[in-house]
Amino acid sequence: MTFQFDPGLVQVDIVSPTRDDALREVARPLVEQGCVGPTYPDLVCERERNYPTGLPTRGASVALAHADANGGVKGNHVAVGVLRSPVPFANMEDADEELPVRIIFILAMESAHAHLEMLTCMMRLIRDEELLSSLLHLETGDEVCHALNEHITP
Amino acid sequence: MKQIVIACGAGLATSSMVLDKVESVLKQNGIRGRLIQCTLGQVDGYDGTVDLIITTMKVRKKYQTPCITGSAFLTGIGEEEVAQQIVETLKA
Repeated sequence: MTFQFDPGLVQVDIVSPTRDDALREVARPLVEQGCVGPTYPDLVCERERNYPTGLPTRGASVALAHADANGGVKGNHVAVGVLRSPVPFANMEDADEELPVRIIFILAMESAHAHLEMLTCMMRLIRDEELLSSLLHLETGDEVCHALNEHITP
Repeated sequence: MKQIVIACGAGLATSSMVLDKVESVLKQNGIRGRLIQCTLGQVDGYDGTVDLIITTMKVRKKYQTPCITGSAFLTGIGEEEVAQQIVETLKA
């Protein structure tokens, strides 16, 4: 799968008081651009409650949110949001633990196969401490998108 | 032959990623094992009959079978230690 992040789906300096607000804000361009159906953000929030996706990294904590099947996904997309200040997400490893998440990725993949490939790709990206830390200091979505695409490996 | 259950929420994505890593840990250490992938909800059915349970998230429940959290294989943090733990449990 050759995947490139789309600058139209990458936002920086997001200010959201709660996890759900942050997820909805990051998911907004997915809906606006017709990548997913209108219910997708709700499905993402709901799944996050049942199966948290917060992950500690050596850099900034991240969330790899997504919905389960359906939600009207067309094509393969990943929305990205860098938050101005951390928002608590439950830890995927231990739901009772809260992580201060600064970077949210929302996956919207058409097939289970593409989803798994994308997750594998994301796991490689989030192991890159320098990359994650550098994303926090970039000023535009275009810059974040460019940095991510530079580090993506098929 | 060691029987190892690998479980995540949906039994699809993260468990597949952990499964790949566990496979290579076994290979490197010359352990023959059969890996069974399932959802967290299905783990109960294997408890007491397999040699090891690896989950992608911490579980509160106490199992008879030794249980290890394998999320380190996703984040890369503490990966070596978890690999070591798996080998020690299976060789015990």
